[in-house]
This record gives sequence, C-alpha cells and structure tokens, in this order.
Amino acid sequence: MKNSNSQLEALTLLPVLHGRLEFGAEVHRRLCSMNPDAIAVEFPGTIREPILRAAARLPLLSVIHYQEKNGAFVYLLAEPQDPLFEAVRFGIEHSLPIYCIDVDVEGYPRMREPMPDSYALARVGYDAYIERVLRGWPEAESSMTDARREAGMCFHLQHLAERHKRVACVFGLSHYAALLRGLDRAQARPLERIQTRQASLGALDPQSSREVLSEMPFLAGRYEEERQKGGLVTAGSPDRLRLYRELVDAASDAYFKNDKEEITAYQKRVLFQFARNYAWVQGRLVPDFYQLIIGARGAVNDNFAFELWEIGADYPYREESPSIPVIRVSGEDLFVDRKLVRFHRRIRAFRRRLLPVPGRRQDRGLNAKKWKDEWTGKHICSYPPEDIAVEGFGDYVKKRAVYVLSEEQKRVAPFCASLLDGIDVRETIRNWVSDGSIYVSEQLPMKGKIGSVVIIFDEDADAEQEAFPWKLTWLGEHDQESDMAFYATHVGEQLVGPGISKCVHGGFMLTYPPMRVYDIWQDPFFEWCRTKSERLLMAALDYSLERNVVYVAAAPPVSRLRTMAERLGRKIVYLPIGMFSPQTLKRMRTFHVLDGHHVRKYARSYIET
Amino acid sequence: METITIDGVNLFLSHPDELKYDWVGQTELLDQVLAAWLVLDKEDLPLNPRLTGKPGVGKTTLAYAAAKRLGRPVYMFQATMDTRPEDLIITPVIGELGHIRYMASPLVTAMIRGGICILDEGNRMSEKSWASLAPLLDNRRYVESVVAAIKIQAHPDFRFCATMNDDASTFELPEYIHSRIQPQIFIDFPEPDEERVILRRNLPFSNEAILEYIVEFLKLAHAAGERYTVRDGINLGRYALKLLGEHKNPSHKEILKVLDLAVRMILGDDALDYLHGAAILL
Repeated sequence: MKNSNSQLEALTLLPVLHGRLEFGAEVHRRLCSMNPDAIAVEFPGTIREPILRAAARLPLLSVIHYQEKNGAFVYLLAEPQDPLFEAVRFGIEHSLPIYCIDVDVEGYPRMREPMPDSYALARVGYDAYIERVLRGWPEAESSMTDARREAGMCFHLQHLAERHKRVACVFGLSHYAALLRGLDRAQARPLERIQTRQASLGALDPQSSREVLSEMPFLAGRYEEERQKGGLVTAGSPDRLRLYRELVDAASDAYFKNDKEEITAYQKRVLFQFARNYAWVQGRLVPDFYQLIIGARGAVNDNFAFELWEIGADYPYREESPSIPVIRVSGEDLFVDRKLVRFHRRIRAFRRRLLPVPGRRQDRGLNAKKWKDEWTGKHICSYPPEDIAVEGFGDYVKKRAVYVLSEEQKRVAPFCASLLDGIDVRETIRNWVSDGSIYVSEQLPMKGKIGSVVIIFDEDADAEQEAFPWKLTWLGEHDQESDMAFYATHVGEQLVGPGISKCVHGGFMLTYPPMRVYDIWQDPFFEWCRTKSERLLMAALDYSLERNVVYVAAAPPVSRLRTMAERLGRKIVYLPIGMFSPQTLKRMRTFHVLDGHHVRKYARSYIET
Repeated sequence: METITIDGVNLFLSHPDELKYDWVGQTELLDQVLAAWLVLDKEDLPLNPRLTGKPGVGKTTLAYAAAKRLGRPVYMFQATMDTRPEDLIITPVIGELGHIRYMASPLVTAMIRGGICILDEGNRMSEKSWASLAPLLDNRRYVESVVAAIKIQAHPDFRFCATMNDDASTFELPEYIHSRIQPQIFIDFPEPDEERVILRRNLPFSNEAILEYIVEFLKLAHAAGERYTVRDGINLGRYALKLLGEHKNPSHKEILKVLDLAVRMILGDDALDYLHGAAILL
C-alpha cells in the first residue's frame, strides 16, 4: 500500500499475516508488479545472514535458532509461503538490497492478535482486507516492547526512503497502524543490539515438517509448485479451496488403493459441509487442516482421515543428505496450538498430535519395504480374531436371511373363524374407521434351513485388470469354523508388520461343517462359471447341506444360477448388500494373512481388531 | 397436555426434557455437534450427527449440552430393541369414552416445536423403525404416521442427533440409514486433565487424593485398552466416599482400602491391577 506521506513516497508498505498462503502469494504478485529497488522485512538485522541463507535454500525448509540471555532458545522457520521469506527470496532472485529493519528484543511475549481469516483476502482483495482491519484496529498504544520495535522500524524506513526510490516493506499487520503513525514524525535511532547473533541454520527434520509448518505442508508444497511455474502472478492463485478439493481427491485415491473402497460424491459433500460449518462455528471462513481431518472422519471413517492426514502433512521438497545440520523442532518449541487426534484405524497407530498440522509419521514406508523383502508366503495362515469375526458375521447373515424368509411367510387377513397367531393391531387400527373389522395374522413355518453364505463386496468382473487376483480355498481349523473360499488382493503386497500382510476381500463363501471343500478355484466342475462371484455361489450351492443358500451382493444372481440352484434342490436367498452396516462390511472386507503360525504370537501388536 | 391439530387429527404433544447435564472439557466436540446442525442459508440443510463411543464417555451429555446451547427445547427418546415405528412417531392410546387419542412422540413433538431430538442409543433400534425416519433425515424432512394417516413436516429449526454405543448388543444399520446420519462424531476418552475436571465437577465434596487415584487408575486402564470410563470413575469415587462416611481427612492407606473395595464391588477384581498401579505411581 502506497504511503500517503509525500516525503515517504518511496515506501510501499505491505502488511501481512505471517505464514499465510494468501499473503505470501499477494506479496509475490505485488513485488512482481512494482519492481522495487530495495526490500525491507520485519526481521532483526542481527540475524540477517542466516535469514538470507535460509531464504536461498527454499524450497528446502530451514530453521534459524539462537539462544537468548536467559537461556531460552528462539526458533524461526523459513517456509516458502511465508510472506516475509517470500520477500527476501524475491530480493535474492532479483539481486536487490535486502534490509532487516526490526529491533532485536529479548523475551518477546508470545501474543496472537485476532485477525480475519486470511481466505477473505482471496475474496475481497488485499486493499479492502487491509483497509477493513485498519478501520477496526483499537486506538490503544502498542505495548512497550512493540512500541520500541515499531519506532525502530519507522526509523530504518525513513532512512531507506531517502536512499531508494521504490522500497517494498513487508511486516506483520498488527504493526501497521503504529507504523503509519510513526512514519509521520521523525524518529530517533533506537537503542538496539547491533552485535550479530550467534545464530545457527539447520535443515528442518522431515518429521518436524509434519508438525510445525504455519500452513498444511500440502499447501506449502503446492504454493512452491505454483511459484516455480510462475502461476502466482495470477490473482487468486493458489486457491485454498481448490487445493482442499485436490487433497481430498488424492486421499480418496490412496484410500481406494489401500482399502479398495470408493468415496462417494455424497460423502465428499458431507465432508466439506461439516468442515465448513466447523470452521464457521470457530470463527473462520474456511476449515484448517484439523477441521478437514475431523470432517473426513465424520463423513467416512478413521482410515480415510488417516490417508488425508498422511498426504496433507507431507511436504514434497526435501534433500536426502543435507549439507547443514538437521534440526528437529516440536510444536512446543514454537509455541503453536496443538490438537490431538487419535486415529482408530484397523492398523494400530500411536497417538498423533495436530496443530493446524500435526503429527509424527509412522515409519510405514521404511518398514513396509523391509517387511516385504522378508515375506516368504510359504506357510501362510489366518489371524484367529478375524476368523471369529467372519464366522460371527456369517451367523448374523443367516439370521437376517431367516428373518426375511419369515416375513415373507406372514399372512394378515380379516378375522372370520380363527384368531390364528393373534390380532394384528396395526392392520386393525388402520381399517377400524372404514370397516370396523378385526385383522389377524398368521406366521407360516419356514421351509428348510440356511446352509452356505456368499458375500460379494466387488464383482471384479473385468478379467483384464483384476483388482482381486488372489484366489484361495481355506479349510476350517476346527469343528467350530467353516470352510472358506475367497478372492482378494494379492497376499504379500501390503505389509503392516513383520510377516503380516493386509488384504482386502473381493468376495468370500462360507460353508459348514468344515474339512469338506476341494479347491473351488481348481475344480473343473465350476469351469462354466464366468466370474469369480458366480464360482463362489456355485460352490456354495454345491457344498451346502441345507436347502437355502444366502447370497449377499449389490446385484442379484444371474438367472442361470437360479436355474442351477433349482436343479440341485437349493434356493438362493438374495440379500442386497446395502442392508448391512457399511462399518461392519468394512471390518469384514479387510483381513490379515500371517507368514506362519509363529506370527500369531505377536500379530496383535500390529493389528487392531 | 398441549395439543395441536394437523390435517384434522388432534395430537397430544410430549414435554421437553430438563436435565442437569453439564459438559466439561473437550469443547472441540461441542463445536463439532453445533457445526453439524449449523445452516448458513435458506437452502442449506442441517446434518444429522451420530455420536459414537464407548459406554460412559458422555455421548448423551454432549448431545444435550450442545442442544441447550441452541436455546431450543430438547426432547430425548430412549431407543430400545422393542421400539417400533409407531412408537417413534404417533402412538394411539384409548382415551376417555373409548375414543382413540393420538400421542406425538418426543421426536414428532420436537419436529413440530422446532426443538432438538436426541435419539439415545439409536443402534439398539431395529432397521424397521429406522426406516420410518428415512424421509425425515434427508431433504424431505417429514414423517408419515400410518396410524393417524397424516404427514408431519419438520419445523426449520428442528435438529436431530443419535447416540450409539460401540458395544455388541446392537442392531446393524443399513447403508441407506447410515448415510442419512452423518457425520459421525467420535467421542474418545478425555485427557487426564479433563477427566480430573469432570471428576471434580461430579464429586465436589471429594478430597484431592481420591481424585488423583481415580485419574491415575483411568489413565492406566485407558493405556491398557480397557473400557472403563470416567462414568466408572465417578461411581468409584461416590462409593468410596460413602464408605469413608464422615471421615474427612483419611490417610492414603484408608483411601486405598475403600477404593480397593469400591473397585471390587463396581468393576470386579480384574480392575484391581490398575488401582495397584496407580498406588505405586502416586
């Protein structure tokens, strides 16, 4: 913003919110258009040298740190989207003189002035935003320390105005009103430390980058990407909401890859509506990272929220072996707000902490590779708690089928000679006014019992690109367990622990009693079946000892299988998969295969049931 | 009893619930429930959150506290395995002179009055009963009473929330209902500091030593994956204080003795390990 004081016309004041994406992009745009001959930033001159080095390292993240007289450590993060570092970086790239105009003060209190959401800038524009904040700014004088800093900044700016024609000055918005007042009168040189600090520069540890950045690391990464492409010069770019949608889409893809479940448009709508409302309730215009994660958990589940967190907390620019020391910084060191989220995933995870951006990365990538190399797959076995769960679910499906068959057998008729199984009160009241008759109901006995059960989560009909290529027949280990045949994702592909492979069912068949089923995937008797689901159903019909076979799927079985069932003296009871809880279905879909019986001893530490 | 006439049918309305529930700590959860209910535009529709978590973590208390924040009448409906569709909507009862009286359920009363309905332990209710709520929980926002042969439209201020335990004694919810009660808000165990505040609020007459023992007991139990909640902690404290009677300044030995008995009587011998663990730590 151009200064109104004619003597200081050389100054362009650019008040900003520290660390915010929108302000970083705005500073970049303004600097590109005004073509300054000097840059002034709200950093103390005593740490100018490490600041310049940190800005030159961007997009690699750095930490500048030094110790104050009282022993307290001060940490300063260099992030690509931070407007002050954006200005310094611009200055370096254009070989401009860079001035650090702040006064070095010790023991500066951690204060946070309430400011409008930075997203408002993207909607109303920078000038309107700043003007509105300035209009509502309290008249009260700054604190002693701030007043000293602001007087010092004014002094330096007044001197710069005499030496340069176009000085861009980037500083915190909370100082703006005081700087405007201070620039109107001549300032004396402030009493300040001029001796250079023994400040060190370190590369930020990738673990820490997930926890301490001012913006979600995903946003910081996208900011840098746009900057490198020259896209920041376009007004409104990068758009935070568009990036949120990209993040959710990326998390949906990862979720599909790992859990073989698609996120529906409805779930995404609920996610964004809930996250938006959550932001509004807490006085923001758009959700932050934490609110997005809570939205993802609310609209889908913890697994999806975890994927969102994994991608959102990942900063893409890092070097394998930095030439400067690596520094690990925690949220406590930087006095940032933290929120805790426990992900209740199927894979046991530890508590993670959230800021706007949280957490500690699970060594999933590193360990998974090691575990994958060690996987033999020679003596695989199941994980018993999951066997019990699947068996219980099979029993539950049978009960539901009995209930459905029983309902079909219920008859209601006007009372004439017999009360049958009793008065049907609902039907009687419904017709009381019109005909005054009493209605009775009769429950006819169900024919036959339930034998085998088939659950089809995904038909996987595309033979060219099989999503569930692993086919197996598993015999029950004891007389309480059914024989099982299934098709699933490849075993040994996704390792969640040493000798523990996570798989996802495409479909399975259970038949009781055990130890009877020959490998159905090799059995030539089922060769005529066209899809894996047909083969499972056919095997279920063939091995069932009872008349009824339950088939749970999104679509009913094809007519030729019904004909075949009749020939075998069986009846297919079709239940739409939508009748069952998505949460239960999800639990049944995911299972773990162990690389030998000895893995059962420690598998619990890696698998949450 | 208040009555209202809809399509010529006279309905008798339920009374709102006034409870002494107080939500302590975890303000984020309160904001999440309020966020689900927030509408920003005439065309916007509120969400119907379902609060899940282990028994005793405070699901009902949270729902009630959030509802009171809105300043609207709150109606609670306890769902059970026997809850039938007509129980949720309108029940016919025989009134004076043998005439049928139509009683509006708390849910329908909330719909008419623009109040908030909390369907407690919703997953104990069968799919059939949930099915009768399907049009209410999507953009149609009405219910149909087969018994009274009327359709009741929800007031714009009406809000709905269901609480659900994650224990095993529950019915399955089909997908078409599941998608209507979104978002899921998961209530986890509070942090130890919050548990201390909750215990202090519920046991204002307790001395600090007893509270510290219970906080430590719960911390160890949570870490071991046990299902003991702050509700169990409150019960332990209450019983221990009753056992101490008039004894205002008990020694640590006496406190441990009564807590030992309280744990045995309320939670069983298995839980004693955590009390012993707490005794070592303190």
